[in-house]
Amino acid sequence: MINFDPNVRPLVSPAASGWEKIAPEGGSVAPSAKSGFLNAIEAAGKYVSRVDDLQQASDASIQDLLTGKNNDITSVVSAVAKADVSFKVLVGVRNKLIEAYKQTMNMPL
Amino acid sequence: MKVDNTFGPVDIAVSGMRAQGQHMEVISSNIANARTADAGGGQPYRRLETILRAQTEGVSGVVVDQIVGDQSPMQRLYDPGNPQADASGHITMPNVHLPAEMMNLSIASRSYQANAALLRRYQRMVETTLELLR
Amino acid sequence: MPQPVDLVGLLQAGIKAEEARQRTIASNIANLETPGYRRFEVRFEDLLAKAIKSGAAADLRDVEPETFQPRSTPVRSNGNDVSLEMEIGEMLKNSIRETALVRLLRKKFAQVEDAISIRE
Repeated sequence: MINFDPNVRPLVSPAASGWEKIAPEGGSVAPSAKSGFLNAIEAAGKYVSRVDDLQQASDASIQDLLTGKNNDITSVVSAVAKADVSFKVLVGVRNKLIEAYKQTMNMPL
Repeated sequence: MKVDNTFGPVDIAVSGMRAQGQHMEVISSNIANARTADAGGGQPYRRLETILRAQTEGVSGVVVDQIVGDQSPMQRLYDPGNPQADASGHITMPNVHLPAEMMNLSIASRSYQANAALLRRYQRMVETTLELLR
Repeated sequence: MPQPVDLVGLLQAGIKAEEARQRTIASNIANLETPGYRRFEVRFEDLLAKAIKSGAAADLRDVEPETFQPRSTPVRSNGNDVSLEMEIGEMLKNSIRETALVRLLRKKFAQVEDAISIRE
C-alpha cells in the first residue's frame, strides 16, 4: 500500500489530517476494517484542505509583499516553499492513486 | 524601523555611507583650508567638526546632526615678513592639525568601506534566500 | 476559494513597477551632477493597497506605477539632491524585489503545470 514519507509529516498537522490514523510511525499503512484503498482516498481528501490552507497563506503573503504591508522576503519565501512542497506531494499522491486504480482495473478476472 | 524588514539593513548601511561621505567632505574642507589665514572678515578658517546622531532609538541608521566649528584656539605663528602680520609680527593660522585630519580621514574611509562591505554581504545573503524560490 | 484577487495579475503589475523603478534609478545616477535636478521615485505599493481596500476587484488591473519627485532629500549648492549611496541602496532593493517577484510568478505557472502533469 502507500508508504508515507515521515519527512512530509511536518507539513501535515497531526490534528487536521487523516494521515496519522493510517500512517503511524514507520510509515506503512496498517490494515483496517475498511478497505485500505478507500482509507487512502479519504485521507487524501483531508490533506487537500491542508494544502489549500497553505496555498492561501502563501498567496496572502505574496499579496502583502506587493502592497508593502509585509517587507520580510524570508517569510514570503518560507510560506511559498511550504505550499509548493505540500502541493507537489499532493500531486504525487494523486498520480499514485490513479496508477494503483488503473492497475487494479486491468487485472484479469 | 521594525526588525523584520528585509530592506532594513540596506537603509541603515546606506545612511552610514552617506554620513561618512559628508564627514569626509568636512575633513577635505579642513585639509584644503589648513593654511587659510583669512576666511572672510579678517578671521582665519576655523576647523569644522561633524557631529553624528542616530536616527531613532534602538536599531537605527545614522545622520549628520550638525557641523560645528572647533572652538580650540587658533595657531599663532611668528612670521614678521608676512604682509598679514600684526604689530608683534605674528600671524594667526587655522586651528587645523594635518596629522589629526589625516587620521580622521583614515577612520572615516574605513567606516565607509565597512558599510559598503556589509551591503555586499547582505546582498549575497538575500540572494541565497531567493534561491529557495527557484 | 474566497480569494477574489488575481495574484498573477498583481505579480505582473509589481514587476512592471520594479522596471519603472529601475528606469528612475538609472536617470538619477545619470544626473548625479546635473544642476537643479531633483531625484525621481516610483510609488506603487500604496496605490495597490488602497485599490484593494476599496474593494473593487476590476480596478486592480488599472493600478499603474507613478513616477514623482519626492523632494525630500537635502539639496546641494548646485540645486541637485541626488546621493550616489542612496541610489545604490535603492538599486539593491529594486534588484531583490524584482528577482523575488519574477521567481514567484514562475512558481505560480509551474504549479499549474504540475497540476496538469505536463512537467517532467
